[in-house]
Amino acid sequence: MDQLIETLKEQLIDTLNLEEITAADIDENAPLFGAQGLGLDSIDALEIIVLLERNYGIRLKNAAEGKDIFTSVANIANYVAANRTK
Amino acid sequence: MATIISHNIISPLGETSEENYAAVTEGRTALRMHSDNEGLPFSFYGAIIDDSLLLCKETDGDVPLTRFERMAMKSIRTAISGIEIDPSRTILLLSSTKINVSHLNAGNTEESVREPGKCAQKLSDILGLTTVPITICNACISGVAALIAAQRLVDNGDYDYAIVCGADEQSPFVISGFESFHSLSESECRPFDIERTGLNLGEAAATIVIGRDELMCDGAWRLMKGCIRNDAYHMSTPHPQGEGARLALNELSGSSDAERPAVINAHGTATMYNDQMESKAIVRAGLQEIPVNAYKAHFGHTMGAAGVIETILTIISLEHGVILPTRNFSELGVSGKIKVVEKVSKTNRQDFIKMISGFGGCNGAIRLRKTARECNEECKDSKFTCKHENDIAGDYVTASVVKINPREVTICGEKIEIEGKGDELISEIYRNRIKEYPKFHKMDSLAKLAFAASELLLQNDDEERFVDRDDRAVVLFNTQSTLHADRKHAEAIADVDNFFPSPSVFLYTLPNVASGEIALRNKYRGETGFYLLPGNDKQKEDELIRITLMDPHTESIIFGSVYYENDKDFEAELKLIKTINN
Repeated sequence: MDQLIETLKEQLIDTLNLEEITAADIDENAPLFGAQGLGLDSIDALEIIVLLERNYGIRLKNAAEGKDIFTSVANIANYVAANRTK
Repeated sequence: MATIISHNIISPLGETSEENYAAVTEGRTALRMHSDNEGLPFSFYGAIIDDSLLLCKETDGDVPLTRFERMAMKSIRTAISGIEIDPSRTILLLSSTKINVSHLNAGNTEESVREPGKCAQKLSDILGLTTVPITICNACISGVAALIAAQRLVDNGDYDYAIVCGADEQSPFVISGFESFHSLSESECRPFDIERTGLNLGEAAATIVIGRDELMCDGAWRLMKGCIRNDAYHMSTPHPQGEGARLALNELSGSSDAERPAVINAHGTATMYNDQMESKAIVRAGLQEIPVNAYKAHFGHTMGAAGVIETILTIISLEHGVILPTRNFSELGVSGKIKVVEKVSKTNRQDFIKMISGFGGCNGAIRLRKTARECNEECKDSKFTCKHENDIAGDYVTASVVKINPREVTICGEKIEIEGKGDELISEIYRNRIKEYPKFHKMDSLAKLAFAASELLLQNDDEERFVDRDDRAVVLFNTQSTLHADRKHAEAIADVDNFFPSPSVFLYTLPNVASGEIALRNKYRGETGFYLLPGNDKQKEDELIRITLMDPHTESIIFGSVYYENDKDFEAELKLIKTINN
């Protein structure tokens, strides 16, 4: 799981162009969206959906589902571990 | 005053405005399921023009036309037939978000594909016009923005006629982009309805020919006033309170009951966010008593054509004394308590507002009214400020100029020391001169370049920054549109088995998002826009500046060209232009 969390952090930094942030800066339990944490927004959420589909074969049909899953890196990791098809 | 002389709609529902209107009143829709789409790994529900409709004589002599160009030409030819226009006093204004983009991957070397700003020149040449055309590339508001540009150019006396043609073709490029935003509905869209699940894309071409009032007989439709405002909120999500749309509506709404429009024809795409935002904007502008309708369930979202088609249909319906219903609407699903039209209703008023919004935070609205000839009296009666008519066009100064190319950066001609070459140069401007705006890294190269130039420009100016204002416009232009981002998005969808379009890459294939980023950063709620020109043309630039200054609120403009081909070939030249009384 720790490995998956680290991989996800790298993938998020790369996909979301978080240029000024390193994996070590991301607390896997901190909120990803909103003013605290990484301050991601709605278009980032859509990018994460593409990331999950491309890298883990997970299809989120309804973008709104992402709200509950993308709360933190740790939460995404749990979801990926449970649902990945590749 | 700018007056409507003729119009045409080409859509899957018909080849003339009248055929399309009849189809709508008969309750028909162009929307249906399209499976087995070449280049798409999914089915989509939308409206596509049957190619047989476009296999017309409009191949125009020896000039080969793309499918998009055939759509546009067929509509233009039909609209101008029987009108004698002076080729030296008539301008073509093409409203299109993506022009010939569907041909980008086919190894096409044609100018009108690689340099989309030249497509309008090709059409203009075929029509025999001797003026230089403008392409309005303002995402979904392009059609209304083009009507506003036409109104200003004609009112200003620059031209006797403006041919406004709105057209867009549907292709995997656009469909995959909207799909990546999860905006597409899998069934017929339901504007403003509680069960709406998204939009349908459609294709169409529509043309409105506009002329000077003096050329017209009494009793014609006139473009009273138009307004474009930016949310300065987000590039792909509208302001939750519809701030930009409210500001635009405020400019047009009039102050007494007698001046109320018969109907507001909304954008009504049937996405959750758009319809909600429009309902808030309408209520906040005090227009909640005015009937609201939307036509998207008949045609889908036809992008560059939408503002033009919907304006034409509303005109014809009011000519018939009716307000058209909103197909598929049954229960209000937005929090602004607006009156969405469910059934055909009668009206004797011939006056309406067309509103529209799009990516890049832009919102447009235009007011049209059928009136007798004395426009000056009309203006006085209805308290529309015709301030621009008294303004002296050209009364502006250039406060500063910033140029960036792969080799150097200059501010007002003085070279400034920035390490790095190519892309690294743009990044260095951010690191040294901007900082602490992580959104910068999410922009594509064209938007980064425009953004960096705008920052240097504003840092060189004395005015306080980051204060809410609507008196500053952001107007950018080029010939190539977003070629770099277009290629990136086209690559992401080239293989249907490895099909992962990115919403943020697609977003930046709309050039006006670069203008929007500057508005967002600086809290500018004024007019924003992006134009494509066929080539370098100082006179044309002056024309764009003057029509921008015709918005009575606009006192200054961040204006200029921005072009990005690759790491070694890019250029921005941005000016801060101020009116002299500023």
